[in-house]
Amino acid sequence: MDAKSYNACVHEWADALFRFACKCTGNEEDARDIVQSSFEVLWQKRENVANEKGKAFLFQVAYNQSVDLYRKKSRVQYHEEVKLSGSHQLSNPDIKRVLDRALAQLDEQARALVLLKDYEGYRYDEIAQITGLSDTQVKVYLHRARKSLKQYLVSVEHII
Amino acid sequence: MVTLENYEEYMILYGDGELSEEEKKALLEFVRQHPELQEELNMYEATKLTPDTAQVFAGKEKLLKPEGGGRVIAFRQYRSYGIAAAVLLILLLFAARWMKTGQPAIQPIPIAQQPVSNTPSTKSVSQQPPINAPVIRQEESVSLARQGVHSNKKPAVRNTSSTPTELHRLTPVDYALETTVVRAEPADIHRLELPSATITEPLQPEPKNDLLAWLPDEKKEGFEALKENVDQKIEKVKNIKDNLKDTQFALRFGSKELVVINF
Repeated sequence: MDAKSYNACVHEWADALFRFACKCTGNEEDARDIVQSSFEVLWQKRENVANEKGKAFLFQVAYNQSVDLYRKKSRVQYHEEVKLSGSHQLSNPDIKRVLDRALAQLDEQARALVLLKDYEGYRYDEIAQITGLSDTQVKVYLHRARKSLKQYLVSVEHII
Repeated sequence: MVTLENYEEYMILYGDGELSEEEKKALLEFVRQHPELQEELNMYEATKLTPDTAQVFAGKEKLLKPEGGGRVIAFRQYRSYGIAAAVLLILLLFAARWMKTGQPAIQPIPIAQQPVSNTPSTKSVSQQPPINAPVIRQEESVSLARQGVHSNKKPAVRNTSSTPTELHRLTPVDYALETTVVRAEPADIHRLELPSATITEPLQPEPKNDLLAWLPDEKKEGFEALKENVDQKIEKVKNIKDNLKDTQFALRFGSKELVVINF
């Protein structure tokens, strides 16, 4: 990867990486540090990274750093609170907020897997390569996370 | 095949987009046959997160790198060549100066040859390589002197009664013999009577031919042959020096001439 391809990665993936890191860490400041650090690592290793692998490389670095940072801090503080609309049916903005809350209930690894799947659309085998897990582990963790998210949505609907 | 036991897994895979077309059809057909599961399928689909595209990373320009900087060449790759070229250049400069002046650029430090000192430091000379010279002790030298034998072989150690004129006749061979005596017989050092401080003039080595005169007859031929060989080598070196005159030496790197030296 040359400087031009690296800069293309910045333009194309910096925002997505930032959103992923924000959801993983629950903190914009930490997410910004992770994005900068990930691109710095990519720049240093650019000789060994093919152009088409740039995005996966960035998310791999960001995933590892987010999980490490989360485990170091051992907790994430989400400032966003669930504010539901007055109606009994969950509107789209409400569902999004509930899901954000539900996402925060997951452990750091499951949260990252869901984000890689939903935000970036990676397949199970691609997620396995990024995270270093096996395909089976990815499938099991993701299914467990989906059930947890669904259960959270069902419980909120019942409360309303 | 989708069943009541595994439909949930199919629903999750469906939401994640991991089902094949056939599997999708099978799941949807199963749900159509079990409409009470439709709500559950909708709920799994609702768990899919969507990114907030309004959230962007501020400061992308700080992450960008210059693209038109040209190719960066690692110096480490050429370091060894550079060192080799520098060493070669230094050697060539010294050689050029040597050829012009006829003397090496680095002159050897002349070591003053002290004839024989009466100080203990003289013993340090014994670090010279040992010579298979006869070790003659003081008593022996006296006896040899009585027999008149030391006409060709000067005794290594002389009495203090030796006159300065006798000392003037010492040759480098004598020095070697003396030092050998000191080194080979450390136990006799206390018996040595070194020349007194009355020596005022340094010893002048005699001409080379006289050195051969001190050698035993059976060794003279060998040394003379050696002398001739050395003279021939010196002549050859002088001829090389003459041949090198009016020549040019150039150091090229690729097609570029880095150094040109005229002799």
